[in-house]
Amino acid sequence: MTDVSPSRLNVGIDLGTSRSSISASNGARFVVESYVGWPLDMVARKVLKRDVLIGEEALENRPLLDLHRPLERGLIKEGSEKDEQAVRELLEHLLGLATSEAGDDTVVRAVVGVPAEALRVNKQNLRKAMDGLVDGLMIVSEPFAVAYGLEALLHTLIIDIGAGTTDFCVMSGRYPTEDDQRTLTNAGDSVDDQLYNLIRERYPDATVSRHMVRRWKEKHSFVGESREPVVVEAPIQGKPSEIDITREMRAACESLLPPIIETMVDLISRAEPEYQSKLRSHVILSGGTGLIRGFGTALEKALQEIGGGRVRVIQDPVFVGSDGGLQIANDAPESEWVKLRG
Amino acid sequence: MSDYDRLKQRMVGDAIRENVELIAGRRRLPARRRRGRSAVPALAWAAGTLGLAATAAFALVWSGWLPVADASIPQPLSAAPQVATVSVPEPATSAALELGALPVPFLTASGIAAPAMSAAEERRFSAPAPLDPAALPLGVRRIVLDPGHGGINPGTMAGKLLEKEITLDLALRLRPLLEAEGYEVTMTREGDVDLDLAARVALANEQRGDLFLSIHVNWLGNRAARGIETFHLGPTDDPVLTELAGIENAESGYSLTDFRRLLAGIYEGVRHNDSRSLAESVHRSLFQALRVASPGLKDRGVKTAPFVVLIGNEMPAVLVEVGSLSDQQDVELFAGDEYRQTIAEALRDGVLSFATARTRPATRIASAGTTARAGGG
Repeated sequence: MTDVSPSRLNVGIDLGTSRSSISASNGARFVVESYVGWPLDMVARKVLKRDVLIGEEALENRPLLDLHRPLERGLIKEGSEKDEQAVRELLEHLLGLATSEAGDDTVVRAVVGVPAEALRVNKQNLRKAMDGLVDGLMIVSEPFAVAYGLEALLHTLIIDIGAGTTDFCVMSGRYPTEDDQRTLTNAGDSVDDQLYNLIRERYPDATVSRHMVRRWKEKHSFVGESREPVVVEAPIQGKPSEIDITREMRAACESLLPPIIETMVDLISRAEPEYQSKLRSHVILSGGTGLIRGFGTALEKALQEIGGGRVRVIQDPVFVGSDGGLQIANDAPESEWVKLRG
Repeated sequence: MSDYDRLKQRMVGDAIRENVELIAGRRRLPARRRRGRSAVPALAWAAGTLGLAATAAFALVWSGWLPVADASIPQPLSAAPQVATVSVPEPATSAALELGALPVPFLTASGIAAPAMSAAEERRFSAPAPLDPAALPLGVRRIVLDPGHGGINPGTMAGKLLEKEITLDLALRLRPLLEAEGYEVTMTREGDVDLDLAARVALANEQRGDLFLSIHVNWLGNRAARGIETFHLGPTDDPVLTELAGIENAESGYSLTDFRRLLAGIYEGVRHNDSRSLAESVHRSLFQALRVASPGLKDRGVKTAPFVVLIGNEMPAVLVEVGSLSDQQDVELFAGDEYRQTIAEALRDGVLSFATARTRPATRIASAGTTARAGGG
């Protein structure tokens, strides 16, 4: 709707508990693991030759770092100055990636997605963290950004399962209110926790870390019947060994189903009766954890209980939120941005 | 421009307005649809089935409107979204008149009954701007712990395990943990005594506590259900929560008039926001700690409900249901010391998290310096 002049750069940012992405109006798109680390001491500083490491590199060098995953449930962690600083570093890094070729005088405007039920104080904290980083800032609910990017603003239920939260948003042709949105903390991280505990329980001698568990989940997660056994490698008393975690993987992934189905059905049942069937037919499953194999089918099965429906799974969810944010930024009238100074 | 583009334009406009109001420190009043099945049946059910006139009246008042909380402006179903800048009470067709239970047209910001006004008159009065807690970074010094039930009122039970004993034990474990952090701690009861809800509230207010933590153990009718939930004061249209509030409030002895007086004492701004923040902090800490010790524990969330111990308090107040004695796994866990200590420590951590955030000056974030970067994308 609005032309973006060359000296202006719009960006959409999806600030995630696990990964954060940015999409810019110059075509740049980056995704970064939401980790920030500072060298533990002078020795580490000398080895790493950096004041701060971000993303995958921070993860790889974690023994040498004071490592922070500063976003909890998609929000700035409360009460830790270091985490607030880490969020700022992360945002500055993302913006640096997207604006690397922009001139110093480029006006940068950002739309950032936050969990649906983010509190007012959470949004204010984010505003503070971005103070001075951009020229204009708009904070929107993450599922709204997803819906906007997918052009799904009417009679659609967005279910965005991330690492920290599962966000629900009913799009009914108006800007979503609190009534239209829900946030659950049952999400990717809770699957990791469950899986970790179940594996430790079954294989007490195996040495597993949460990072290993997360990688296994991202590769093998499923609900329902397994296609093939999930066998992974883990050291047992120092010796690399193969362990079968099929049963544990299924149990951990399926633990997400009851709360998500319950909330989905509840939101649909609260919609205007004449639009409920449309809503059931337009359920969009987004987010990295939404890619658990069979999850969409399981939701469709649950919808059969209330008349049937269709669930569309977004197969490339990494940039869905940031692309939506970018579209919102592009569509915001030029004259309105002056009211949204960063 | 197509209809769809117009729709997008309108939504972007609403998003901008919400942000402008956030920047200005104002609260956006959501334009909600009125739902025919929302408050009225639940309240009628509460009043009729439980006979809890006081609870029903309170919930009714809340569901009607309160100016700086989540007040809603009824909209025609087909109406375009609107951003309200004034607080407009429910019109005369509100649930209050339909039920006929409350002979008060509506309440003012202070909760005192006021005569009905025309819509035009109402719109002349702007909603009071909510006070940003950041403007009052006051410290938390005195904490009031309220172990639920006691004496002849055992609360829920499973075999030999009684809610009143568990809650007291948890509070007694929590007290030294908080004292070690430098807080003054007061308990509404330190032994197996029956203390009515009004007395608990009065005691907390007399002690001039800075926050109030009421500890309870749940009983969930569905035996397959388990988990923790944390409440702060607010309306609910959930019949289950209305029933729970009714049960917890049954011993309050408050009349309808008392409820009005209590409401008059509520400053719905800082305290409400703080209660919600406190609930969030405590709940988050508790769930993170317990889900490790109790795999499969369900996060039942932070909720609002009209519990008497939350209404009357003049400080941020929350009620935590730390588990459920209807669940066998919880029963086994509560039988041991370790799980109880974990709960006490998690409650301490939640309180500390809230207190730290509460006392944080608004300008704490320093401007970022230049830092070298590592690629991560």
